[in-house]
Amino acid sequence: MDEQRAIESFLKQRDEETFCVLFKTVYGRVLRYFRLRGTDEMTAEELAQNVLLAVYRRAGEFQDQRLFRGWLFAIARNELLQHWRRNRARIQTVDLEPLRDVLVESNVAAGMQWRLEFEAWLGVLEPAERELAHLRFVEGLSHEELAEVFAVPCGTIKSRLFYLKQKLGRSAGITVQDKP
Amino acid sequence: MRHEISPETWEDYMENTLAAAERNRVSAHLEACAECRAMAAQASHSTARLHGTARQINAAWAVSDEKLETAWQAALAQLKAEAVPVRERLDELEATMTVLCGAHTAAQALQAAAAESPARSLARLTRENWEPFLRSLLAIVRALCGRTGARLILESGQL
Repeated sequence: MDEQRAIESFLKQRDEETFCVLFKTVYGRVLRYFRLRGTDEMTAEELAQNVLLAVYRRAGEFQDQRLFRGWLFAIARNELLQHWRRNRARIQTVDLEPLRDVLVESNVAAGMQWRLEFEAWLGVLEPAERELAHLRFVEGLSHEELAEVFAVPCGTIKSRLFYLKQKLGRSAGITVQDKP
Repeated sequence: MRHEISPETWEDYMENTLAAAERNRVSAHLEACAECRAMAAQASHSTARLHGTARQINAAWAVSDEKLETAWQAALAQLKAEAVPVRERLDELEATMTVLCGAHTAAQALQAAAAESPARSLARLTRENWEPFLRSLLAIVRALCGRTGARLILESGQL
């Protein structure tokens, strides 16, 4: 079942069956969200599970199917912030090596390479801008869904995306030949 | 605002989500303005590269079926453990209400209370949405059976 149908079915009738389909459809994305932010495999699995259990428990409060992914990643973001607050003293460096465990074997090298290149390129952005870029491009959230995640108007999201793209373009040294 | 074109409009232009008339206005401006052309080239390059790199990451990233099943089983076990107290409390409420107003009315009152609460149905009741459900049920029981009945339900309904 595709993601949108899984979301619709779950919001229409929350039971074990519809939740199982939803869980299996979105778990990988939520897990990736935490792994891409430097959490180890076990922690990412625990946080991803917490997020999806929160979705199950709070589904009655949420009905707007169009913004479900925004709501999902808002919960994930809060979960990550809480995790960081709890472990602030212990987090010193981000170890990229454990990422190998969650990549499909044949794609390990490619996945690592792309991820490292992406992170290096986004290095010129502020943390909040990087978060926005990740959710927009890796997770594919719409402007409206991002507005739900960051609790700001849609126009603010568009402006922030535009400015971060300009910043990335400048850092890449992109110029244009003017007309004669 | 840059040359009468807002950042939001530029973003929609880069993502190809502008209406045709507005898109034509921006394109016409770009033809005439070298400063905006340079700025748009930077942002367009970033847009294309961000989409392209993200596609590569997504294509390389997947969770094995085995890991997915293990995660689901762990989540299911936790859900089942959490559901027991709610189910037990619901059974106790139904038993108390059956004594007060009969089995049929008790069942209807429980369903109505759930429908009016954030849970919206008895099947969706959880620890998190139990409190508003109980408040809704108390209002119904107070109308049906008076304050004494409501007090009994309040005592039976604490998780």
